[in-house]
Amino acid sequence: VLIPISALIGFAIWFGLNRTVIGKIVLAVIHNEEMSVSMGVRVNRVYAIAFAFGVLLAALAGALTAPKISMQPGLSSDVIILSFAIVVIGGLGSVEGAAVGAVLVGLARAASVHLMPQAELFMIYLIMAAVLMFRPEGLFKRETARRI
Amino acid sequence: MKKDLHPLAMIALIAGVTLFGRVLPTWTLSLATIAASNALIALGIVVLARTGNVSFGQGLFFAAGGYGVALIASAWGLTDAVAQVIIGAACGGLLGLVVGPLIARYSGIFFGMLTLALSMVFYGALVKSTALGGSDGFNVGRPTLFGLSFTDPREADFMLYAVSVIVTGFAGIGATILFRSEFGLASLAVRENNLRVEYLGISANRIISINFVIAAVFAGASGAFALMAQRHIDPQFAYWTTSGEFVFIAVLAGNQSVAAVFVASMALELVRSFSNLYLPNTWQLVLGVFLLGVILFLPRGIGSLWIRKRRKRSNSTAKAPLAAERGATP
Repeated sequence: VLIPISALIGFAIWFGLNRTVIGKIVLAVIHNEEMSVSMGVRVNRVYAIAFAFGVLLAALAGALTAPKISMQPGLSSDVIILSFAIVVIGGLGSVEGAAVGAVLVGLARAASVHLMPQAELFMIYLIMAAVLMFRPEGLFKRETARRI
Repeated sequence: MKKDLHPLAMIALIAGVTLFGRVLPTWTLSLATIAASNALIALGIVVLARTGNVSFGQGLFFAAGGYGVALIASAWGLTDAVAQVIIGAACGGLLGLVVGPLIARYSGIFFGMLTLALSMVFYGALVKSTALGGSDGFNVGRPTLFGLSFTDPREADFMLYAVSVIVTGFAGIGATILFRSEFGLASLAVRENNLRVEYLGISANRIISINFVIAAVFAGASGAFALMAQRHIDPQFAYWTTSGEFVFIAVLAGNQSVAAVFVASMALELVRSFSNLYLPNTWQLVLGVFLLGVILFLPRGIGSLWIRKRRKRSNSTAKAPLAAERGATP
């Protein structure tokens, strides 16, 4: 159930971010906050909605994984590191990057448990370091212009 | 950073604080030692944060300093407190010299995650190395000072307190001088816009590397203090929650004032131990509410209490990892 749902949500977010007006507004806010304000975008509201949406996804992920694992209050810290690692591997702001990063991390972790159990603890970090070594901004970097 | 306070006045302040330790009760001394040690490493993070980069992997240098000191202490029986601090700082600094230039070209969250990755790899290696005691770590002897050994626990505590306050104080003075120097201003410029700094003919990477090494030296010395205070070391030193705590002190302090780092570290330690004492079941809740309160009401850190001058921060890359840290601390 998990895989199709996450694939579906991933596609929906990619579509929403890249192919709709709302998505364009969000990207505009990321790209240049001041310009967006002057164009009449309510930047604070966009931030709030984006944050709420992120929280919604996190809650959904928690609800979907809960039956598979043992729940405890300290659960959050592992997830934080894991999700940051995935996002960094994939590249910030890239849905497809996050998907590829997640698959990469999941497979690598499973493989290291199977083949090299002593490396299981830091496999994720090794992959992250290796990816950043060659692609300093993640696998799928969104091209951005920057102010000079 | 007060513009009017002369370094000599600061030295007098350190001496005063050290002597004040004579009249403090014993439990405060060990608390203050830990707070000073945490302040030292948080100061390193503040130094680094002035270039716009937040390191989540200071635990790497913290542990490197601690393990370096512990190994030398158990191999050759070197127990002198000052020598141990110097060794710890040297271990941290050497590792920083290796890591710093490699990592200087990253920025924002990538910088933070890479430092975190390195410290977690180190953690994994430490846990798996049976020669270093694995996940249990090992004990080291009681520190001495200039050939004197302290059998009275109170005297030993005071000695440790004095050494940590003096070293941290001098590090603070050094950092203040650094912040006021040309180099410190160039670091701020790197945070604002590293491309412009490059166009002016200054190497932004070099500035970040140097600041990184300074932070690593502070972290190594801090690791030596933590080792001497606990007389035990384990891989937890390199774990990312340890690093996160130091980042949190730095966030609480804000990057405007060196003194704020000490205040923040002491306040955090006090709140933690008092809430631990009186509310043993809900102390995390108290700590969390305290941290939340500081962030909500003093968004620029404790330093903004006495620093009126508002600097506009147009940098958004430094904020992202900080926001993440907020979520990370339970």
